[in-house]
Amino acid sequence: MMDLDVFLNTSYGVIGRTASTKREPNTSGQFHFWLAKLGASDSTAAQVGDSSKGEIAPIEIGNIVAARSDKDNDITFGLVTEMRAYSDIDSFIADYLSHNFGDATIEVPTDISEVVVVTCSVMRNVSLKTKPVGRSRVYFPSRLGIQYAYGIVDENGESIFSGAIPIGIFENGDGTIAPVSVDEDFLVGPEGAHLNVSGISGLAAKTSAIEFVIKSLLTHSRKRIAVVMFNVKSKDLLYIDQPNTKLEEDDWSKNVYAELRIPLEAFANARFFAPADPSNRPHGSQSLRVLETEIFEWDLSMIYRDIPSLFNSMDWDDRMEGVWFVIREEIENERLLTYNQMLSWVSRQINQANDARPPRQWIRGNHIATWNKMRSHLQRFPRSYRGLIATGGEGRDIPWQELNSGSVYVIDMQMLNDRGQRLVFGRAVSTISRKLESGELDLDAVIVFVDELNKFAPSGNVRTPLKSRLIDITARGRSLGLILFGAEQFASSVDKEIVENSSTYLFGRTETNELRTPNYAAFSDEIKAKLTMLSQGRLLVKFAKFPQPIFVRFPYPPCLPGDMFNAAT
Amino acid sequence: MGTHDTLRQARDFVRAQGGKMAPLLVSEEEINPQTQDDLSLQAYALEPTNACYQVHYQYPDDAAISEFSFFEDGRQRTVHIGFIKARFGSHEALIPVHYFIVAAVILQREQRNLKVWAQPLIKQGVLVQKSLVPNQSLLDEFESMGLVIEDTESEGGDYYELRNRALKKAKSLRLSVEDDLIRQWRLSHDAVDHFLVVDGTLMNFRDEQNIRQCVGVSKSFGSRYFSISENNRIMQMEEFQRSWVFQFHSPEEDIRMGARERISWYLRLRSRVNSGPEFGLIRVEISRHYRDNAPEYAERFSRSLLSERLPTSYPTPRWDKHLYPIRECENYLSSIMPSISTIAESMKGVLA
Repeated sequence: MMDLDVFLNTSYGVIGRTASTKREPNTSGQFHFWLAKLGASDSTAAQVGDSSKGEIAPIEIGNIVAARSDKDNDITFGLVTEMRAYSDIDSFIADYLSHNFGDATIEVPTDISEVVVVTCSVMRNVSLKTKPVGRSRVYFPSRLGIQYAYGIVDENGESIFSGAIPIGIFENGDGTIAPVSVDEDFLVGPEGAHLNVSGISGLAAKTSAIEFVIKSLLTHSRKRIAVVMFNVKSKDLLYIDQPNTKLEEDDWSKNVYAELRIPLEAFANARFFAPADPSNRPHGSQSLRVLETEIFEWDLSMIYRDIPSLFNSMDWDDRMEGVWFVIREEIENERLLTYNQMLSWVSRQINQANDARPPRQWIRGNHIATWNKMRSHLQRFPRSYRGLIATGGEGRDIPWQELNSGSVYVIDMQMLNDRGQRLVFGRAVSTISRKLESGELDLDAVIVFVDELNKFAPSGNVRTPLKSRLIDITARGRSLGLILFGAEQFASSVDKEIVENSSTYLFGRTETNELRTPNYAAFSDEIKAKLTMLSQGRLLVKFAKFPQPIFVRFPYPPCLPGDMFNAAT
Repeated sequence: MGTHDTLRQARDFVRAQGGKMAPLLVSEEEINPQTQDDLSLQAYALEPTNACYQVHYQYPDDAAISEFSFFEDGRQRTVHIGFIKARFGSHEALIPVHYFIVAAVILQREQRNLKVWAQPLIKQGVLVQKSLVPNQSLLDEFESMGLVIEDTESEGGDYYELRNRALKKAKSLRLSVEDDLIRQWRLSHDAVDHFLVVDGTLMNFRDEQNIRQCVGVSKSFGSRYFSISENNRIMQMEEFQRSWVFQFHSPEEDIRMGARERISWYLRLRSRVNSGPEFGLIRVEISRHYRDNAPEYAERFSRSLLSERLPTSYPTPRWDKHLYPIRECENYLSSIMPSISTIAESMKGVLA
């Protein structure tokens, strides 16, 4: 017979008893228990100091408990989703009367009886049978119990994941801590994939969380993985090759790195790329990073396939497409080699038509007005997409072919407008996707991390080529090895399919209004309330293989937050 | 024997005697609410009766000060579960069978929190007029198996009388377990330098020694022990006032002599403005042992009882005089007794 004690923190003692009432019965999915007074008997709180006697266990929403059946044949683990304090007070007027008709300062000889009733969502039980929880004593689980409850380990403590990737630390009410890992096969494929993190900017520490997860992944994964990060604002990711000075001062973080066997090292080999600076040729970039940065800009042969996507959708119609087909034919026949050549050629076609007598209204089957419109847009693009289009000489693309296992690329595009960012991101995703598909990259997976995902795949019915591509990636990318790590303030602002296709979801501190959206419908009101108050460094993790979401704490990232660079130097 | 086993055996007992199950969904206590039975006593004052006495109680400074740490109450539940056909002389009679459960508990207050002192005392079983039970050997057999069968000891086999007897017997059993629990407490180390607040009159406890550290608190009283004008004085007492201390008179020929010589006084817990004359009025009893210093004890215990008026037991029917710890005793006892519906369903064989 299995030794059930190994799943429990027996030294802390019994913290409560399950109860099933007529109105609120225990079910196979949910159970209730009331909190006992610590130290009330020998079997409770053996280790609790005298100062805690008479107190209840320090339990809170998000904790995990273990209900051991009175028959000693099963343990059911539950996630605390709701806590209610019931008192003997029948009504407010009763309490008013109890305080001598409204004397709020009065001290009475007997405290009104009060009981805290805890509601738990069932996570797992030792018997692996689906049944209501009967009369049971409730304990805090041991470290093994916590990991077993989440399906991370078996009853012997052996990982049951194909590859365990630590994502943080779970801290229970009794102080027991347990590393929380996700299954590699569900994080980077092939079983499931993609990660999404949402939360209020500046409070949710989304970037830090992703950086930590990526570090953990690169440390523990047995797969060949490369990472491509897009820096969309400020200096967020521009110094991830520099060590985080905050770590030196934070023992808790250092201990976590040691516990999870993750080296305390920044992404030292990361390469940084940014659009060229046309005013500082040939090597100047537009990046805010002051350390070594490689530049990229695309010549006509690299970018001509993307030119239709540079247009505003209202400016792009069948007539424009007709003109574009003519120009593209010239490019593909290598009669136009540079962007400037293309502009000159278009101007020449228009001038020739104008100079003809009588002037020609049609150029190669398209009206001259459409040609004029095309010319004006093409002339504007080098300015609108500053630094991205090499108008004269040869372009320099990001060296995707050099991506190999452990590579970290940071593409800085914070200086670009939204359409510029979409162009860079879209091109990168298509190129990586194409190279993975063709087997050009010797990799199992490429992780693409982008903040403000809502900018690239907004919710709603509007379909853009990039959004469609992202939806496709999250739906099928795991078989290719193209994995999306996205972040945004509001999950509701990102396309539903992208969010739902992510097997790992991290929720940081979230606004109340956002919590009213369907993305959070599965959470109890108390879990939502906790989400509104979540401190930095803590996240709620929803993972495909976890029976319930879990609150985890993660350490400072191993690399320097971009805005700290000056201070650090 | 546990409650479910007792209920099952009670059902089997009725069936084995050829009886019928006929559980009622109401207890005898609810059908016949009890009144205090010390109505015929006489009392004589130990202090002048021309005025009431102001208790030296400073509110709110004294609000949290009470010397009491122990509170006792008992409960009983008597439910008609069936009947048996019996021979009574040349007649055939039906005799009722009741399931009873009586229990007593003492709550101890530590740092303003209540907890159960030691263990509650519980007794449960069947009430029936034993002499009329047709199969006496079966009766013996059930008793030997552990079923407690108490005799309702009636004459005449009158169904209604037997039901009434069952109720009285249950009360007697309840007082017995209360008496036992009080004794257990009195002999314990915890009782040293402490007094036990008992719900209701102490008159029913015969052993003077056993109630020596008890303070009885009665919430209802239907008798007048003094002249009308003196009684009116009691009725018009103000908040924080007590009556003169008096002692119940016990005639020499009273077979319960000694049992009724308790010291007593009235105490007004709450202001009766806009309320009836009995609002917040309790009667306190202590052992006759304290006769010589009775006013001092009255003053001392009154102060503590005035503190016990908060928190209130609202919305219980007599919340104005119901002490909160006593109410918690009742709640505790209710929680450990089977509900009427559990008893009834057990008799039908659904649960037991």
